[in-house]
Amino acid sequence: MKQNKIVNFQYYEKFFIIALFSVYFFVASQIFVDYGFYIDEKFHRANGFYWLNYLSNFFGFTDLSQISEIKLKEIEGFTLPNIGNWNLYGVIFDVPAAYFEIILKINNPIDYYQMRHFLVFIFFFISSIFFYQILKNRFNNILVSVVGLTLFILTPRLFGDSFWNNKDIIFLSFYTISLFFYFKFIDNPSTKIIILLALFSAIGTTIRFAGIFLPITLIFFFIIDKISKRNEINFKTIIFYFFYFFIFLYFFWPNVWADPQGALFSSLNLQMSWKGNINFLGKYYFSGNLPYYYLFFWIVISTPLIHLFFFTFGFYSYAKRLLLRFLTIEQNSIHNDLWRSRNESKDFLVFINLIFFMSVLSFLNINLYNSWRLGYFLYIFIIYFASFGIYLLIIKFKKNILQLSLIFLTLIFFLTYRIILYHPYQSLYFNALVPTYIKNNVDVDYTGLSSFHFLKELIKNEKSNKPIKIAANSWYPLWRMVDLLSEKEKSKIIILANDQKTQATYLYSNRIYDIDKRYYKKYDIPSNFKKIKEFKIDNTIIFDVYKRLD
Amino acid sequence: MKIFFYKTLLVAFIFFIVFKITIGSLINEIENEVYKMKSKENIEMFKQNLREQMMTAIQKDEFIKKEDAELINLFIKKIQKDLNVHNK
Repeated sequence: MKQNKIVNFQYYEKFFIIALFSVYFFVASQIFVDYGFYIDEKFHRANGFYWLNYLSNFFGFTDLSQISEIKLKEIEGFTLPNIGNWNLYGVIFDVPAAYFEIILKINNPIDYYQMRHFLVFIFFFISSIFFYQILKNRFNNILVSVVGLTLFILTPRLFGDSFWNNKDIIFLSFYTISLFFYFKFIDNPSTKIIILLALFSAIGTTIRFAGIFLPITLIFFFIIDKISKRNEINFKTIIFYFFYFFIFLYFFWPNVWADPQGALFSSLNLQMSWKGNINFLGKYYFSGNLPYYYLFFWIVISTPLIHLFFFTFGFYSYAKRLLLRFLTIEQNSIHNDLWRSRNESKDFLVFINLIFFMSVLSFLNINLYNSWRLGYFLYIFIIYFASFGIYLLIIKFKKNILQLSLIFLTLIFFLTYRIILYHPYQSLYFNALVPTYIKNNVDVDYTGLSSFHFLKELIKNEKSNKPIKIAANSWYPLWRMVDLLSEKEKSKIIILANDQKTQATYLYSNRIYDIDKRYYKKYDIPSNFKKIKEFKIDNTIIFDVYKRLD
Repeated sequence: MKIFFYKTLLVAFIFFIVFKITIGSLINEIENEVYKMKSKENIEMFKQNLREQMMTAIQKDEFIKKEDAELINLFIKKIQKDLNVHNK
């Protein structure tokens, strides 16, 4: 009888999870077309064809090679950097996207960019399944796993970025999948799991070099295992893992095939990272010399209060427990160590990931820009500890589980409301407590997501038959968005450079500047222009439009 | 060995954080100021300011006061004299 109940519960649980993911997928498939296009999409499309051409030449696929070469030559623009000089980005997203574009015969710009957006979402969707499995593996509690998963999916900046950001979201996705296999490795380091861990951590490393930290933690855990005399990880396992890791790393990093030393050296030196001026709280900083609290501050202002509350509780509880474990360590006892069970070692793994990356990104003058999108993968660890907090609350109030569930449900409704409020600009989210002066004194629409919407609306509303002259009065190459317009729409506009703005009829500004506007006049509005629009969401100014009066 | 290993890691981490927050933060700020001073925009702004000041000077009826003009004149003559003496 009892066994029947368990079987029934498992059945309902499975049904509920499938339904949840189905709803998520359905909603995403309906709204992914709403999102804007970002500054680097054209470059990454070119990057995809560049590497597809290289790979097809390498493997002797003549037709594919010819088509990809033609496609690559078609991608032009004086604002685009030379792909040959900027080809160190991972290929795991760009090459399949380029391949699908050819195979599916997508020739309309809007269609192929939207296909890429949907592909980004697919990666994130898969990673959310793995994130659910991580929570299930660790907490073995349906409520924790579901609430944790919901927090992951409904993290506004991840939600928004999952429909366009083909770098940070892809890295986050592979890191999540790697972390899942790491957890499995801790449970049972079988050959299959080791190979899968090596595969996904290697792919992650090709996207962002930060992915190398997982293999490093493996060595760290091995050292601790040896000096603690636990003997849970043997040397052969480590060798086996690294053997496959380097094979996969080589396989998924075609840049290394041609010039192994050069490619590795460039990656180690972070040569691909952009350097420039960042507006932070109204003051301009060089991206490599930001204040140490930059990342922490951004996390606090752009993360929902629900996440922050559960994370603070979970992280504090774990840190307290770790400190107690540290104070009671005994030399020759496995029991008196930094962790006692496999589950605790998983918590420790996530803990050192969070501490390591927070320290490195904050204190080692890594170039941070575009808010903190380069660190979005930290959300994996933040939401993990938030789930840990939820787990502790569930244990504490296990007699009032219904009331607790209702509280979670209410909080999730509030979060959903905030996400709808920001639609389709969830990528620019600030939490409910952030004052307006902070929102408007940091970089908001850093990738110009709003520019396409602006152009479409302007063309739609403009009655005149003459072409409209538009200039970007911010540090933004508006030309790149013109490709997305139809031929008829293109004929209706002329994009001017910033230094020709006096000849324009309209000025568009996404409020991102490469210089401090207080001291330099480059972006001053000419006196014969008047602001006609200030597009705001939740008191955050996304973009401004000015019109010439004479 | 185990306790030594953990304590070494902890001490190294605390040392790193304290160093970065105190001395590192100061170095960071100085580097940022130097970067700003050396930046192309700053040099351009300096040139622009210089041009503006020169224009202002041209437009003024009297840019140098009589006493200053006499002083500068004497100073230039002194320099010319010294240059002539040493270059003979």
